[in-house]
Amino acid sequence: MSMQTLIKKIIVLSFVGFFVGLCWPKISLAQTKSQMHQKNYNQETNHVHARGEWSKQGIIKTYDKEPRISSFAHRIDWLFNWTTIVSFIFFLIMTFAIIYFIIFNRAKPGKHAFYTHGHGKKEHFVTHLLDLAVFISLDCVILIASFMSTGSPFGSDWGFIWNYPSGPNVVRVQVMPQQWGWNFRQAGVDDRFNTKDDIVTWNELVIPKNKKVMVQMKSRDVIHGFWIPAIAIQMDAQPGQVSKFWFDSTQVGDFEIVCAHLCGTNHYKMKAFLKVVETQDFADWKNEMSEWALKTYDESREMPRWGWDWGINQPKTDNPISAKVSANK
Amino acid sequence: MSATTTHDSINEFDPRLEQHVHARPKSFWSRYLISYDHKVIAKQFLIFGVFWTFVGIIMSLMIRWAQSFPGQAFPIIGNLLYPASDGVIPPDAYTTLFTMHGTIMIFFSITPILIGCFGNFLIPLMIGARDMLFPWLNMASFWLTFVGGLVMFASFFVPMGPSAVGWTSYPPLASAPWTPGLGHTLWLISLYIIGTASILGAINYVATVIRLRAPGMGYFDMPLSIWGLWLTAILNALFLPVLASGLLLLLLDRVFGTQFFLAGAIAQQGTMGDPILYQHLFWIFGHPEVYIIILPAWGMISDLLSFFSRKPAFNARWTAISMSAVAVLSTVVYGHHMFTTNMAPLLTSAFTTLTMMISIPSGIFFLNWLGTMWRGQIQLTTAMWFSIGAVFTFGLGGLTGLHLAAVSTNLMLHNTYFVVGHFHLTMASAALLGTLAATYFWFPKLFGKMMSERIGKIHFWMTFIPLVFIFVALMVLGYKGMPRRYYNPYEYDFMKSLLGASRYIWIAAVIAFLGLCLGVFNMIYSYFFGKKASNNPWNVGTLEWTISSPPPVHNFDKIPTVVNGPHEFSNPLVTDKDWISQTEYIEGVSKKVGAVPESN
Repeated sequence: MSMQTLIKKIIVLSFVGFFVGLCWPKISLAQTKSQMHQKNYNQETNHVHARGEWSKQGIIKTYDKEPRISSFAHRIDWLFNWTTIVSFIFFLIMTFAIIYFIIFNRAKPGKHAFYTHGHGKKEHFVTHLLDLAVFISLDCVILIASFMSTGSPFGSDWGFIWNYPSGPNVVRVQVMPQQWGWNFRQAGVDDRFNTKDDIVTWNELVIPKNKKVMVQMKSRDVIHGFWIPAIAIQMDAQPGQVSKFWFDSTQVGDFEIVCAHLCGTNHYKMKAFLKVVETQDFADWKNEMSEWALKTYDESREMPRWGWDWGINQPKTDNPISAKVSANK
Repeated sequence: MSATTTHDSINEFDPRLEQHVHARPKSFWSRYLISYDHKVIAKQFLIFGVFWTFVGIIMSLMIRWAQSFPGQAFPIIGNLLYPASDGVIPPDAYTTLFTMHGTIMIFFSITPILIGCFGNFLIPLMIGARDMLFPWLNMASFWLTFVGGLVMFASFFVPMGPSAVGWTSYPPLASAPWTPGLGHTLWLISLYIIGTASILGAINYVATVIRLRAPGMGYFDMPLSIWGLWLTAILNALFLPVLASGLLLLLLDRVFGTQFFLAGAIAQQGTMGDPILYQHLFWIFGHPEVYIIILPAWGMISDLLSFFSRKPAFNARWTAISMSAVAVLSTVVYGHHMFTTNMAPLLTSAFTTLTMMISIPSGIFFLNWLGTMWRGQIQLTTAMWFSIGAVFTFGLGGLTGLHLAAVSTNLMLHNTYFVVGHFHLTMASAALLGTLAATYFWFPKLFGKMMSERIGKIHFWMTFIPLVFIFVALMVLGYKGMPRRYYNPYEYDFMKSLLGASRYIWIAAVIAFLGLCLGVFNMIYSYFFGKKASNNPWNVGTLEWTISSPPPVHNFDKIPTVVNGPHEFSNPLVTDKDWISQTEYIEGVSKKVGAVPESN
């Protein structure tokens, strides 16, 4: 038996071994010792460790549609799908070209390749045309679609990401993440921030359905990323400066909020919930909580008094500089 | 050695005439350790890089294990590394793992191998020089890298462990109040040293390519590998100082209590500075860095595709020009790493548009690669397979970059596994496959032995398929919303269903790891038992194949005169063979090189 066949056999056997080992976790010696830790570390996912069950979950399940609750998420999803499909078409063309060349341009003894440096007019024309086709059909369309969703940097009424809502109908929320959890603050019935009736919640953000929510964020310590996968977009919260974005929800329910930006060891534990309720329920909740906040307000407690002024003339807060100045006061 | 004659047509001072010939080293010490010889330094970089590659890859396996089997002991070495938790990777160790994996793979694995080893080895040989322009600087570059490696290695053994803030090391998390301990300080010092080493190397490469090209070799007569390495060196020399400034300021923050990046967090009233400033400094370097890593691979792929299609590189001039255009553009697009920092809309728009512009030059040289293979006579050697694999993965990675360039989809995909999948396809897979192609191709010249083609092909398929699978699957996970750097994402309801996919990725990762082991085995096996390599086993015309394998200490007995381009294949005027050496004068094919200095 030659060296190569031996190596081949070793590889095949080790493949088989690993597959068997994976489907049968009990085989691994190290695992028998770790049974106790397994329970401690991983209670939620323990059920999937049972033999074979993980394979039933399969990779197909990955493609299940997640709920998208914001009114604009479909436009981002559209751009994602469009980019994916068109680039996949180009990718397929490329793949077929490579495979074609490999199969049909294989070297034959005594034959010479077609001699060209590709400097000719025709070659230039073809390469540049193809390149332009890719650029226009992919990049330019993506760029336009992206600006259609962000809006113009000089102010516009077509986009949504940079078109921050204002006015009395907008729900305003201040978010202050910290290691490792989320503080949320909403103005009480007086509609002003940093007053005694502010509603401060921990790891739960309550908002009404179908209303625009304007978010201002400032971190307590390190940089965190505020992300609700169900509304698609995310924004960083930084210490020392206010960042902002807006979203809304068209569905009632509980949705998970995750921290997207690495913020330390327990980064993965920064779970919070977005609780979307009907408009009337929200008004009731707000009144009740505001009253309760006023009743239980304690001057000696520093912890919940982290809020900042929303900005000059509250509804118009779109100037980042004024927001920053007021936040730094 | 001094020049004996000078011609009127060249400058009074021509460094090509002044090239020093090293004395043949006598002792072990001067031959292998304190060597000025660029070939020995290249091998030192190679060994250094391979060692760290193994460390980094094992870390990536541990990361994948923690994702696929949360709460279970890591097989075989788990109990040795984490006895306190019976072999289970704890969350703090997981944070360390992905930080060090990123750092090691970028600065200690790909950079030393692709730029350190192949840059050092190829630049003098391919441009027809005896050595680098500054051999001492070259040696200093390796030994500084080595010291940097030692410092990084030491950081594993300090109390509280090594750095655990992600390879980007964003303050305030990386500042002393949030990450105390010596680990991250050593990380900063190590990268500072490594950066200095790379700057020394880069200056050397740039100067060597400009001053020491053999007579007759214009910039467009250089092989495209040299173009890639040269552009990389220029970017390195320009942008590593920016990183160094960021690291230095952060080091001052950590050790001497300055406040460049602290920014008056609510928990730290009264402090000053701005953490976003660090992000700007980091990404001004960080975006060129991804091109620093991929540019040499692009160049080598361009060359190898031409060599093994037995056909001139399609429009090589424009490939070189568009590679330069990418290098220039790469310096003004870094903002797309920071879209979620609430950057000003105008700046965001500018960065999006500029990022999209990169696809014009990259499209051109990508089409040129396909054009090179078109109507060629393709020889499917292992090196060719790896080059094709690199083209394929780079295409995939490049196209998925579009999702991240557009602001709206970026805000959705930022900090998810989509980003991880994307940059691993370009920076890791394409660069790795390019490196392996280069290894299989230049191994005969490096060590004088042929690598086994049969093991090589198994190695290729064991690397290529799993890599593509892993990173495409990671992108799917990212689209589903799995944030990166999560120890246990399955604590969230919407990610519970992703565990199955993670297990498939683990299988692929193990196969890729075995493939890598096989590749290293192939290197060691071939080094000892491989077939002896002839001077020009691949029938290629570039200058390094005109001398013996491995090359003598002084490389060229006589500095060659270049009369042909690097990719003269299948020329119809030559019938007995399908290649022409760069030094071989053929009437009607070669250009006339005028007055040439008579060199030693």
